[in-house]
Amino acid sequence: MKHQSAIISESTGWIMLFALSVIWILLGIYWGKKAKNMEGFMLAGRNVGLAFGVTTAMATWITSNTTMLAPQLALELGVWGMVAYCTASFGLIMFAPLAKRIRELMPNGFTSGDFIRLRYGKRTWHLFLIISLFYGFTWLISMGMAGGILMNALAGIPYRLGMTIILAVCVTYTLFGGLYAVIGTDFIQSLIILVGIVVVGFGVMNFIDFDLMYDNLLDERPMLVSMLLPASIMAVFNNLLFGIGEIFHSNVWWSRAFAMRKGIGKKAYVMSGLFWLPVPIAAGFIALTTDSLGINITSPDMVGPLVSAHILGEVGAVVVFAVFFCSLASSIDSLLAATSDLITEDIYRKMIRPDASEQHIRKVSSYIIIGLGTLAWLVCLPRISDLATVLFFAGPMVGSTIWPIISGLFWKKASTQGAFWGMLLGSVIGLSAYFYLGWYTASLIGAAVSMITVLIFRQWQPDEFEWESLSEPSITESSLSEPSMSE
Amino acid sequence: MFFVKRQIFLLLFIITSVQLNLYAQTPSSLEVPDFGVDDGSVYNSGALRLTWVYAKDLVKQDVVEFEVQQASSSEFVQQKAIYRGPDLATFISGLKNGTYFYRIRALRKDLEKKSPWSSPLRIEVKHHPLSLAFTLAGVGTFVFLATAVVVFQGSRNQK
Repeated sequence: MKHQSAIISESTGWIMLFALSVIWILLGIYWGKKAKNMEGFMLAGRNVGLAFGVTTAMATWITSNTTMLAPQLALELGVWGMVAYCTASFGLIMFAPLAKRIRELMPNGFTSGDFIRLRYGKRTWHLFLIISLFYGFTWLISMGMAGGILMNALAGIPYRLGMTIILAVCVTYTLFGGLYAVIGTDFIQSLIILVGIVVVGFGVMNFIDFDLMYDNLLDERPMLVSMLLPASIMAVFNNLLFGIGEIFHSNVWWSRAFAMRKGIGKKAYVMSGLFWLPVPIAAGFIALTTDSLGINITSPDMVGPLVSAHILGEVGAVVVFAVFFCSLASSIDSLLAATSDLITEDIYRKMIRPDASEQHIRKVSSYIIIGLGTLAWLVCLPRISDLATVLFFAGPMVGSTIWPIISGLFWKKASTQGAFWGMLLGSVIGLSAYFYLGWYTASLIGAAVSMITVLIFRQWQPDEFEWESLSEPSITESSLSEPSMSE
Repeated sequence: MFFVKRQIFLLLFIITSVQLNLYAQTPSSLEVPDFGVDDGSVYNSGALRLTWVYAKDLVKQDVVEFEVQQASSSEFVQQKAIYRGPDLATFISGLKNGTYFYRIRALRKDLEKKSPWSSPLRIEVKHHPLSLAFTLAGVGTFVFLATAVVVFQGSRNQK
């Protein structure tokens, strides 16, 4: 049985790492020159077209979680696990009407936090910020960890060094270019990812004897091909609702909705969802080949990179290295930008310095990006757990935001109390399910509890909301009226 | 003559002692690896990460391999080799309900020596009841469909 030694030499790994790092930093600086003001830095001038819109949504959603966690789910939960992961594309598709609605209701909006504050008031906004920042940070950590694990497994680069470099590169180019750089690099990264996945797919099809693979699975891991594996049946809807919750609430997706030109968001999200749909199947399927290939898997989150690199050999491993680097970078940069926007806008500008000038806000935003990167680096230093455990811990909180968001966007009668208690009860009861039943139930239960709460309060304590109150003046407009702007 | 005999005896004694001492420094048998998983653990998804620990210097020198066997009884009458190699863990998944036993031994490649088998590790796989799985799947379907209805109906009403 093959053991988990590095697939490419350490020197090749370092060359790849250096080359990719330089390319992304230079591109980040190039695209960043377009960001002339705060709106440019945070929302790419609200002028993103269809091609960039589709690729940025797709590249951001093809994260380490797709390329590493989809194979992990397949290895752990079998065929249903693979299906479970691809249901995350429904989140993108269903966000399409929301993107249109958000753009219409909040033409000058900046963050998802803005919406919750204006729609439900401060108490719900504070709870939402805790949930959203916690989720953003766990996602960031899971990807920092994934970077270190990946480079160690593929090229033997020490975990801490690999993790440090990928975080540092993403912090650097996000710092220079903001959302312009993020969306620009996402475009190229998504092309590399798609080409890489096609190459791996053909490699697998030529290399694998499907009959042998099925026989091996029946013999070694019989429940993986069973349609009645209870954990995986639960995981299908858990993952579906987790994906929907992630996209519906996270500022990563709201900032793109604000950034896209009018009329673009809906099409871009539908198309990116459809393009994304087969990726987890392709990425997950290869995990089922480990036994027939005789590869020992010591950590389930490494099954994807290891199998694809073994199938394609040393040259193929270089492709795999580039694909995984891009999938990580395209998500880390988005998270850094969106989370820093959330902290800058919702915490610093709204709570601490409402009169701050645009230049000052830009400076604060840069410090926050560096701070986030440093904090993520510190938490990633000890490799604490596997990726699924880290990420799915945020699942119930994320699931509990679905109904407060959709009811708030479409129902005048959606209640402030309902949104608050929905998020709180959904998170608490969902987290209990995480510990008592398993991670594969937490988001589902969190979302269900939140839905029931929102519906009960809508019935008993309905609000009568005026949509016009969601429209705030833009930063530029409001800042211009502030004396500090003229400094 | 007696003096010579005594000297030969002394010399033989010293040589034997030195040899015995040297022999004592090279262990006649390898140390048994320790599993890093608690005995009697229960797993609800049929998947577990089986880990073991061993002398770091030997692992680093890459001279030691491990052999792991799985069986349905602690006597290992019908055992199955599930791993042989230098890694310190293996990921097992897709197990059916039941009790499984694992044992491990170390193999020294350069000395062609094997450690004795470890004492059996017992783990239990107890999948969630299907009734719970289908109930939660039903709840999930309902929440998903309700979400989709609110989104698409809401979006249509705005036109």
